[in-house]
Amino acid sequence: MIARALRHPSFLIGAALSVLICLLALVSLVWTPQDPTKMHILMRLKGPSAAFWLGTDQFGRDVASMLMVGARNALLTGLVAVAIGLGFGLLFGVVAAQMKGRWVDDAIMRALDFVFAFPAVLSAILILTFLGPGLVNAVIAIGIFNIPVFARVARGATLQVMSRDFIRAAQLARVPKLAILRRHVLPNIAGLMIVQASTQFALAILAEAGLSYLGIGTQPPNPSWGRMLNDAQTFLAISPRLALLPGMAIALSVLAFNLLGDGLRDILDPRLEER
Amino acid sequence: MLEIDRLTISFRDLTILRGLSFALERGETLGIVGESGSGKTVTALSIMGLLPGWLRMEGAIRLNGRNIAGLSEPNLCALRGRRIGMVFQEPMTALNPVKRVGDQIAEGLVLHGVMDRNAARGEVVRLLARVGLDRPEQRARSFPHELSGGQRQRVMIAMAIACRPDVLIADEPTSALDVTVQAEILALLREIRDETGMAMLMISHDLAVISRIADRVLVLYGGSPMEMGPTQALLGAPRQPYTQGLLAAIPRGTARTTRLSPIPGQVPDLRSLPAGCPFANRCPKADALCARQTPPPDQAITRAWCHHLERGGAS
Amino acid sequence: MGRFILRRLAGLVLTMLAAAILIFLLLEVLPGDPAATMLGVSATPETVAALRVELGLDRPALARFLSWIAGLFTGDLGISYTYRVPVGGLIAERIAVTLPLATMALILAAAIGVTLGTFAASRASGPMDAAIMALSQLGLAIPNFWFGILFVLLFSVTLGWFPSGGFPGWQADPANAFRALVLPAFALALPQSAVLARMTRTSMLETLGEDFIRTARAKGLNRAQVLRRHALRNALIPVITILGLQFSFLLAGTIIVENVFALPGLGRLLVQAVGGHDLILIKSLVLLFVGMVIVVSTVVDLAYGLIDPRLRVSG
Repeated sequence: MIARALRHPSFLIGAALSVLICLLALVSLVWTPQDPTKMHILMRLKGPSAAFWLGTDQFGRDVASMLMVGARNALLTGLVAVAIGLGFGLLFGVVAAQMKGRWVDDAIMRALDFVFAFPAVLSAILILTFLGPGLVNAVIAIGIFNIPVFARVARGATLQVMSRDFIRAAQLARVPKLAILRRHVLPNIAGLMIVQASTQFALAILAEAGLSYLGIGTQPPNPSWGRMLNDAQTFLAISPRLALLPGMAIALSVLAFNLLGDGLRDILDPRLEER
Repeated sequence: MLEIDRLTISFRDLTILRGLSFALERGETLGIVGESGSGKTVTALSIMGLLPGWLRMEGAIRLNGRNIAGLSEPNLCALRGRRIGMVFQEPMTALNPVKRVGDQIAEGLVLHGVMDRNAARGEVVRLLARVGLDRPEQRARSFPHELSGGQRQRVMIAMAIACRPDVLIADEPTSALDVTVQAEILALLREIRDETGMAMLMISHDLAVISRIADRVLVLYGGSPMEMGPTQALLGAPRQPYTQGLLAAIPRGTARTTRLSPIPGQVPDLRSLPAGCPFANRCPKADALCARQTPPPDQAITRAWCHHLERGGAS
Repeated sequence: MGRFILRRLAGLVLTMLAAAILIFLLLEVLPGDPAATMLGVSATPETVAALRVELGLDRPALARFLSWIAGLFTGDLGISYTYRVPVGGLIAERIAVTLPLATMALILAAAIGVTLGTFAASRASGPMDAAIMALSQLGLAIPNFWFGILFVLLFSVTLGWFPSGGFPGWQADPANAFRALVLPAFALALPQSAVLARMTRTSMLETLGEDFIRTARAKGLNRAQVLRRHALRNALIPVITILGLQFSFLLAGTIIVENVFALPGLGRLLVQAVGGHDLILIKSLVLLFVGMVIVVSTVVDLAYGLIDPRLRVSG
């Protein structure tokens, strides 16, 4: 499997980019070229220089440092939102699959369908209106609308695994339900869940950027790629660099994790590779 | 009418069909028998020019004297359906599910300019009646999922013969059907052949099916011909060890009293065939010569490819 | 068929009701005191109390909920707190921008996506296929608001072909009103077209591997004819089913894109309402968005039966 992984070009690109971004984010925890929140009023809208590697924005803040901390926020969003979605989603999905045919399954599926009727951005706005703006609340909101996605996948995958003969054999051998879940079901659905997690991670980064662009996500002075784009719009003619850099950061991160997820899917499930 | 001349099909360095030659006359039915991997389906596809691009084909395929192997795609399209018709194995999936059955039959007629759309409509009804479907006007407006497997196969046959082709290739047309329906479809094919004088190539793994419809039989194994000859002669008195093995393996007698006598060994992996006769490693009569050298054809009542044929009559 | 429609419509109504309840709970009931939320922390208790009376917030929650629902039918949705005009009027004004925008984007996304996807499938595994797939990965990764900003940078600031924002109004200047929607429509459409291109390609490749495609070729149809007449309709079935979902994503996307281009549509209105804590406006707007999404998915579900005859109750 590792050999297959090494031969898959898009997986390698995705993995490499993801690692790079994670490194930048981690480094930002201990060091950034400048303090990203400090405004150097005399150095506003300057181009790249020795002190400000990627230039400054309209408040004189160092773009490079802001990008790095933005990376940290983006990755954090992805991580926590996916954790929430995966954790609860797995729970609901597996429970629903176990209770298939009973009212619990029906209830859970209807609830999921209901949540799906709310487009992601809309439900995020709704939740943030209720909770108030900010990065933490945005992460919670994104996590919440991740739950149905994971629940659906988990339920479908669990149902598929449960219908296989070796599960029947284990049940006939009086292996307790929980043990079957732990030893047989979870390992078999892990692959699908990991692939979905990668895709949702990318989507979470997009969502955080969008919400911050609108002003209801990450609040100043905490740097966010989305908000940087909003700030950049006013000065588009004067300093296009300010709009290009954060956008590229978003696009590259999303691309990285999408490729990672696609690659993982091809590697983990060779049957899908046949087409 | 149809002549296959040393047809060889290969994939990189793997040979799937080795130098096959046979001829088919008007009104004649040739049955091709073989296990999976014997090369029967690729033979059919190559006649139609429908081989996938990654297979290489050498040799000649002559239709009424003209070599159609390697023709350009537009020329092949003109032949397909018009001069050569084909019936496939899986009636359940071989028809377009979102188009009405009548439209699918008419498509060929209009495409090849045999008649215009209006005339085609009438012809479709006539064809559906000919292949034994009741209420043909209504059936023409049905969708495939509204018909049974047997009915769908009849539609396939109607589609294949619509333009009155010279040759009809039937690739396992009855394998996916119930036994009773099988008999009906075979009877239908016989009738159509007798009525139109078409040449027919019937491909099957089932000797019983072949025996009921073919004038001559060609037995294939591992991409090479084993024996070819008139049906009665070949099935009654097989000369080649593989043919003999096939016939001996047919269960006879009762379950209790008779042992099955299968051919020892398994269906060959095409990558590990001997250089000579492909049957060498399963044949009771094989020796070192068989493994090394492809046997030449020996013509008696039937033509057999074997180094160790019995002289003077069958065993 | 009639009962199927009724059931879907009943489901639609129920979902809307559930959505309304959820929205009401989140915005008016749970936060405690909506009036305080709307005025912010700096308000004095007297102003808060006055506002409560003015908005009728001293009535019990159920009564307020019911009058809101009733208002949906009469068109009286209250007065917006920040704009001081009836909500109904505001919505009517703004929807004249959002709906055309979303529709344009849907048409663009479908046209671009399906065309590219079909083309990629027909050149599968070739360089064009790889190029289109790579482009679609980019399309998926770039947020629609960055597309918007890039377009403004290129087409407005640099080339001056299109306005960078604003909307003159359909009445006042229809030609320029349309021009104002072009860049936003493309910004909305491109990410969705990437999704559609990938889906179309996958579906087309799957369809091309089906048996009935082989039958069509055996009839003599060339590759282009097979694609157009047999493959396309079958391959598009799954794609059409997600068009409804795509429309809901597009509607959600207008929330952000309208802000990029300062378009006076529903999306911009929502963001401004959130910024101004205008709960009266927010709750009706959110319900409206949800309503549009649900209606579109129900319509698509019902239309599905028309497209795929296998799903119709056969007569």
